[in-house]
Amino acid sequence: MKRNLKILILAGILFICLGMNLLIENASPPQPIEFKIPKGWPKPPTDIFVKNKLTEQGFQLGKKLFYDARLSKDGEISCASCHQYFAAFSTFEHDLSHGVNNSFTNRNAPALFNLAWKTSFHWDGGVNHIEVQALNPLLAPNEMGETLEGVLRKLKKDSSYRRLFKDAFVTEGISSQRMLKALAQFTGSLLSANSRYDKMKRGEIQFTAAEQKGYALYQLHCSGCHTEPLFTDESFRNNGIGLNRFKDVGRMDITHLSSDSLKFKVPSLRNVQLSPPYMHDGSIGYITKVLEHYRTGIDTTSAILDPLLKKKIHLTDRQRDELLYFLFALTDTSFTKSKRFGPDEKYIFKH
Amino acid sequence: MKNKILFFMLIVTSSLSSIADGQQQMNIVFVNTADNKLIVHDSMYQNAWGEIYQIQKLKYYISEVKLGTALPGPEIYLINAFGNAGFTIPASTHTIDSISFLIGVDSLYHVSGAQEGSLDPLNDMYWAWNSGYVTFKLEGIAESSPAPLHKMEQHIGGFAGNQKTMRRIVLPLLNEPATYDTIFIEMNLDKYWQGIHHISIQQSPVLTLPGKEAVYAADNFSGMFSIKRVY
Repeated sequence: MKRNLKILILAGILFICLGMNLLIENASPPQPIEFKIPKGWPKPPTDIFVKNKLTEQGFQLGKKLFYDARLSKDGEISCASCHQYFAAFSTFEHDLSHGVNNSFTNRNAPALFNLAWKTSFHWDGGVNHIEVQALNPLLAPNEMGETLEGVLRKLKKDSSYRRLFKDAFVTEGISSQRMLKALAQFTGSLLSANSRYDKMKRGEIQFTAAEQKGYALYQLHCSGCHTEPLFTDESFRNNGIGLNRFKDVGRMDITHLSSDSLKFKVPSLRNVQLSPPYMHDGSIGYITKVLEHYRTGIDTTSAILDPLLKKKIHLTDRQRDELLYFLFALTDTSFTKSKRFGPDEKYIFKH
Repeated sequence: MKNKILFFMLIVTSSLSSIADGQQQMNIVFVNTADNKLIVHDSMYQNAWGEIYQIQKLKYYISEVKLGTALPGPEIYLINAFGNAGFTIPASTHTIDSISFLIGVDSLYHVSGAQEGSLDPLNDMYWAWNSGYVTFKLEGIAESSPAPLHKMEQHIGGFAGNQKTMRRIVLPLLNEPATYDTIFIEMNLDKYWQGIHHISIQQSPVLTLPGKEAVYAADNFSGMFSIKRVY
């Protein structure tokens, strides 16, 4: 009888072990998620999720990588250090951002959203694909300062990453390609399309009188470069900022064409209220000063100025304020407060 | 010196896979030379302009390899003078009149996001700030280099429009049945300095941007490759 009991217990243990084994073996396959294009928006120029199938597991892995400061050389700087969710993924109130060893970047960290529609990345457009963008901040000595070998070594050592990579890509293995694709699944998913402007377009709300007037002024003066509904035409233009202390010539660094001197990527106006300071070098601190720059600050006789700015923009003070109200209507707080995009745990921003 | 190269080739041949039964294969081996010497670590070389230099890195991409009229293979190889300098491809027993390949990789790979294998950015042949692969990378030290620490860096890349640095190389082979299973291709670095264009270390010690100068350097690729021998 005693012996039977022993066998029964052993059999029971064996059964549980087998069951657990099966559970591990049959870990659920990556769960596809759909990237929904908002109504009335154009299709992205190329579908970034064709060769990088968007899945819940891939997205979550990308998110973990995005918020993980261990990816940097000194373990202090993550992607999220400079791309802060509450500032629409820009660096809040910093003209330039901080990298490892108390270094500074040379350019203002751009806000991150609606990246699936971008035809190039960085202020100078030097990066041609969302997947390879992350190599830049990871490896730049004044950003995360790591080596690709170093990043992968850290990830491979971490059993939770080993599991998450397998969950996302089915087979075992951590590679640069998988890491970059996972990051692109997270950053490419950052959709911001729920501002007052969007709600007005969907017929859910009506603009106030001031917003409505501001919208008309925007269409007259700003829409040539900041085209709806993404509020950028993705082009490179000289908006009269001039050569800064870093002698940053922008697009010309990439194309070597003198005609591209001092041209920078037109940023989106969406969430502009949340992403001060402004311009490629963060040299304008306040949004009202940006409007002042366009109204009175540009030398319209400059030969290399963008042709669309050669005609002086006339705005009365009242009109300037109306335009401002419209720009505030492009703020999407459901995006900046999204639990899906924000950190899972309490995240301490050191800057 | 000639004997040394021959000896090296023999060693490489014996280390490469031999023909599998019933399946014809061709070993392609790149023999990297400069100044009539095999390129090895810490050795000194002299170019046509009397400049003496050491080589620390020499890597280049080879793709679209094609024997005679066969279709080019899809594989991309990273040739490393101090590492893997050969590969094996399928071949037919018919007469092979030529071998052709691209130095560099098709522009499609430069714009399609994160890649793996020989194109993994871990191989240190990728420009992140100005997306694209480096076609040919040579690094070393030269007394005549005015750059800090006398560094010499020739990172030749660029893939778009008039910045293209990929070049197709066609090398004729003997017009006879291919009884051999290994083709040794010499990459003669002397022709990099003294080719269609003249490049001196003193004048361009560091070339690490796509553009006019890189295209100029890439024009010299065509003269650098020749059939050393078949075996």
